Amino acid sequence: MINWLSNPKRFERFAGTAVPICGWLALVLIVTGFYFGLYASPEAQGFGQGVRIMYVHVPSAWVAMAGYSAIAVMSFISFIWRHPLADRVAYNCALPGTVFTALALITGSLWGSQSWMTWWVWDGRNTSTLVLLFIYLGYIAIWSSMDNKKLAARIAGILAMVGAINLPIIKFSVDWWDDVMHQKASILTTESSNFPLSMLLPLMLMFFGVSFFFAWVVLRAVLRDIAIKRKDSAAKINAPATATLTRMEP
Amino acid sequence: MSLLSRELLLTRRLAGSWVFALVFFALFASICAIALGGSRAVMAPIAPALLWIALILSVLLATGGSWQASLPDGYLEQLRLSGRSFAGFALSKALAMALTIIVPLLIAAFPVAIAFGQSAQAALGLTLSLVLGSPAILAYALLAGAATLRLSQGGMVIILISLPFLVPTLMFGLSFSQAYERYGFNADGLALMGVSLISVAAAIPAVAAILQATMEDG
Repeated sequence: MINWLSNPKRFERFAGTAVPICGWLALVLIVTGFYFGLYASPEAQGFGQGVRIMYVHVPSAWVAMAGYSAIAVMSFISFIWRHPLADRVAYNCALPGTVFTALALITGSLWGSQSWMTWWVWDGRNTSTLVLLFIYLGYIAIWSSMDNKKLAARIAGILAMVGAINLPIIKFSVDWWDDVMHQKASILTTESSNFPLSMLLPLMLMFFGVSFFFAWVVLRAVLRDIAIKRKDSAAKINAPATATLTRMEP
Repeated sequence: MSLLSRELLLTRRLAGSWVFALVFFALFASICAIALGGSRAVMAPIAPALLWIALILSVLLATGGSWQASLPDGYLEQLRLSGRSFAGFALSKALAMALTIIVPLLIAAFPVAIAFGQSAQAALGLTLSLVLGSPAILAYALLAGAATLRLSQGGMVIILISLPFLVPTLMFGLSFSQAYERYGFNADGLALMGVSLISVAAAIPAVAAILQATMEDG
């Protein structure tokens, strides 16, 4: 599959059909998800209306982690086979991934202000998501601070792989730190057994909707990059003489 | 071995560069003490956290830029042409930095901890936690330094890249040092050693790969 897609022409054809499918699916799923989430689902015991934030919060957190995993896998592919397309996919996952990580933190904070009566606690999940946000920012910093994009791709990819080794350790250490330092076994216990279908439905709709939205954003950005690259190389072939002339004029 | 002795020689010739980290460490601790009003009752509970942050910042600032010189002086280019592995260079650089920068800082940590109102046993635990955690700090400082080799203003990016990776080290280090006074060497110490070893094992090959990429694609 990856091997088949590694040809930019084939990738373009695949993405050309996948982009509208992802886009429309995302739109339909998110709109119906909002309908069920905001109107057609009950309020949860002990959470009140605030529970509706969950339908944005949980999918955002999922995409935040899936986005980083995608970066790590694409970096690995790029590191082994030196394929520039994998770099473009990894790079274009970073910004939406950062936005969804921030969104997960913000919605989590809003939800917390309703149900825990505080905007922020330094518990395991909050802390590890915050660290993930900083890792995303460091990854973007490497890309944006280097002029040589080929080198930037290589270095950012290596750092992303080191980050992927680190994330489980961070997750583990933070959870354990949370237990030792804070000694609060559970703030939030949603017993999965009485998670009603009327709430599961909008959650699933939003989950897939946000995932397709993420795919839509990334694939579109990669297509744009391919188009820019093609235009640049076409410009180089067609008009080298004029380019040198104009530069020599002054 | 010749790589290591070259690194040590370089550090020695750079008149007293190893002292800078030590002075920064002492200065940072003093500034914290001044800001906190110098009262031991206030300082003692947060001393481990302060010294950990002081060590992390000292190491990042002192070793993050340590690759810079080997690019303009042609050493990396020679290394590439000679076909020797960058991993050996990365390892010898790490060892040289550990000997010249980390060891003096670790020796200084004990008296500073005492000055911050720690009991001898607590200061020992704190120093021990710094000893066990310092390989990870150095490994990620060198990794971030190698990643920013081609940047003229790499300092901020070094800190941005390495600090998130140091979160587990910091957490295990602090809990080990806090539990040491009561329980002696505990399981957190093993976890800290584990994190340090994983960090070194991940960062040194990554440094070698980045140096190679810098020479080939840069």
